[in-house]
Amino acid sequence: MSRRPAPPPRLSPKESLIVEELLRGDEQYGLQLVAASRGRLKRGTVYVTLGRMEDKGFITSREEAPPADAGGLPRRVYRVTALGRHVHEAWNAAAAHLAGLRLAR
Amino acid sequence: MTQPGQRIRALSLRWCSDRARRRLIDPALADFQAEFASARRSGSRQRLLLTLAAGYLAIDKVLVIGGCGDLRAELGSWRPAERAGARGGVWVGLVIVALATALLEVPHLANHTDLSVWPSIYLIPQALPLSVPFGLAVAVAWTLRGAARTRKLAAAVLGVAALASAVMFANLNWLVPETNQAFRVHVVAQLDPRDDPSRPLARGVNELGWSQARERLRQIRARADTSEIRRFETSYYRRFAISVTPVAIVVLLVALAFRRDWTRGGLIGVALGVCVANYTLMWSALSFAQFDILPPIAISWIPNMTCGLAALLLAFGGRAAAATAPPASSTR
Repeated sequence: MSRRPAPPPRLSPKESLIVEELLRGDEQYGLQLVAASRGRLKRGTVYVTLGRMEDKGFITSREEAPPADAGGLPRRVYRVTALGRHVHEAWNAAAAHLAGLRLAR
Repeated sequence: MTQPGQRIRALSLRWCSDRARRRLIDPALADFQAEFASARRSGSRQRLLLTLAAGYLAIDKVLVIGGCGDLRAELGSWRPAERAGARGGVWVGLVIVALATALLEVPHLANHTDLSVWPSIYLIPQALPLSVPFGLAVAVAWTLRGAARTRKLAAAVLGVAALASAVMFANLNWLVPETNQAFRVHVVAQLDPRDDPSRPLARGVNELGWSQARERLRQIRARADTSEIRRFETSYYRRFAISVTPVAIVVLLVALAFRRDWTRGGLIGVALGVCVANYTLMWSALSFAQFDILPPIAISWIPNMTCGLAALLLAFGGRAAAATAPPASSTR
């Protein structure tokens, strides 16, 4: 009996935007991503998207200790993984290919 | 240095899963605290206020999303203790509501021994605004203790309370006016059989449906009799306030149940105390309605507001010491 193949990784528009922003810099905070997106990412929901992307393995994160004089909770910084980069590239290539098909029709 | 969001983190420690806190709430809070520190260094009061407003708005949203995600993950699986607690609570609640409704009928039956018993059915809907919150409170106290004191059951009882409030609203605005009027017509017919049945019996305040009550309020306001306006407005707004009473009482009881380890008897005693206090406050507040101290709408909502405020104090009044402590895991 043949096993059904695993579904291909999907990248939503918001996830794609986050990968793009992360590829521009090295590591970024959630709030930096919101600021860089110019309103396309909301600070109330960006952490949900980031958490989902970590589950999918598209990004990884680590905690960064706050400056000694500032106090507060350690901030979480995010960076894109090799898988995230490859999926983003493949997704963009597929989108470009589909756009080409539409133009050729 | 005091950091913003400490109480929210204390709340998340109590209510959210470790995963939601680590993935959603802590990163959002940490960014908010860093942004707040930067705004404070800038010295601009306007920027500080804007940062606080935007930050708290976003954190609240994150907290709700995190809580809902946790609930959705948890609702799929019920432990035996939770199932037993829920089942027991439902039965206890139903029995208490039935008993309390029957008890509230006793004065009528005792006072009108000359009338037949069956019209008492008309009075059941008007007993429900008292018996339902009472039964719900005892059911919550029965359920939320020991191994069954979980967020899942707390959410379930809050859902049931919201449903009870919706039913209560419909009952008070559509069913009670009609059954009350039917009862009055029946009693008048029995007491004075010669009375012309085709002549409609004038409806009192409690016999007016929602739209009729609004129309009557408009007429009374047009006449500008201040004391009558106040009396009618209080009665009008009280209907809405009473509809929300199940939610107000249950919210307070949930907060109390999670505050400490209660014995079943202890928590039931507290539940009864909350119900009695709520209704005492309601009737005391209504006696103030004749004086021009507070607007009638405020007077009507005093008991529910008091319950809500007490619940907020209990929920947010926990120790916030952990709010700046680093979480258990540092790297994923």
